[in-house]
Amino acid sequence: VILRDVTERERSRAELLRSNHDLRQFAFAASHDLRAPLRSISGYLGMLQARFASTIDEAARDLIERALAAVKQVDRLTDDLLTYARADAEATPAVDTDSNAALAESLRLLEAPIADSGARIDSADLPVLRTDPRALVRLFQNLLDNAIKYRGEQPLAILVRAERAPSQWIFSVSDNGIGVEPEYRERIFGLLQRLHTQRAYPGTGMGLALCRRIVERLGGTIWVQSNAGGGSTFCFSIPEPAAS
Amino acid sequence: MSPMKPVLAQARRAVVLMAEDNDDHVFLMRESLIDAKLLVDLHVVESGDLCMKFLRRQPPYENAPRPDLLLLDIHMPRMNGYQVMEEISADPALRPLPVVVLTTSSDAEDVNRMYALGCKSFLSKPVRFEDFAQMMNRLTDYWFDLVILPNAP
Repeated sequence: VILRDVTERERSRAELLRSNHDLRQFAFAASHDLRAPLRSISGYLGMLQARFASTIDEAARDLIERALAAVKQVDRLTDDLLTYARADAEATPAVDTDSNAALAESLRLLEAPIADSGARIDSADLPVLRTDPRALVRLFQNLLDNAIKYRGEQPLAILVRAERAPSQWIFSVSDNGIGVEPEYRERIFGLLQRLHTQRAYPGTGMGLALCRRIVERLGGTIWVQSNAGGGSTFCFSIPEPAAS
Repeated sequence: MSPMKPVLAQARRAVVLMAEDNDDHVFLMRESLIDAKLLVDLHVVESGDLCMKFLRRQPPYENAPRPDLLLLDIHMPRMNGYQVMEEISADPALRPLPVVVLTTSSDAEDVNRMYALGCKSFLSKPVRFEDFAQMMNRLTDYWFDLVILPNAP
């Protein structure tokens, strides 16, 4: 009986691996096959703009602009879906990782949006821990990007911190942005879930879903809580037994 | 309208072979060459196996000109861009031909693999039409004006 259990577990593990592999193949193929016609559509629209600028009126130009914006949105979506599907393939083995360096790398990747938003970003108590460094960079990058996007009226201030818990590190990214209503605090981590219109805050609803996928792969959890003075704090845990 | 710009210093036009299965992208390429006012002798093949036949002047391409540059897509029917790149690199007669990969992918894996196989540049197809025309302008400037191309024996 035990023997059969093991065989069945082996088989379902093999099936899971295969379906993961299929999903990844699908994402690669879909990304290419969706992008090719998108390039064509935006190419034709661009030609309409360039060649008929003097013969079409304002209303027609507006329609072309709208169609181009829609194409761009689909292009972003295919990009983000691909990144999401690849999150596991990107995994690298855990090594001793300086989370200060990971944060610095994510700041470098976000140079333009940080400069545009005038965000002030501080960090405190970031440890060296054993984890996947690329995953940590991606997490910081997505959470900071999120904080920048959903900033409020006052100058944006972000604080990145870490805290030691018995068997894990808990990282947090706090901002003074628009915050998240309590009823949406679970939903925002779902795939393609958005709380705002494209007009208010452009995006694909993939960023936090990607964060959750990465954190879960690392064996941790991710959640959001609100700050006393408004804004939100995104927290994620990364398991690491305390040094003996 | 300013006159069309010949892109090779020599009297002849630069010959570009484009291996591309997507008709729309071929059309956009031709139109962007017109917009960029580039006089290029553009030939198109729709798959990797036809690309190799063109380069080797095998039927139906017995009279094909020798391309100065190959624009190579990756995803094509029957024989893909990787296989084309492998065959070109393995063939001493074709190895000098500069190959520029032009594809919708910007995937690091595709990029690294193509460079490892011997492509000279890797370009991701632009989304906007005006960027397409600008890219062809810069590409032809570089390959047909700035660099010294290998000479046909």
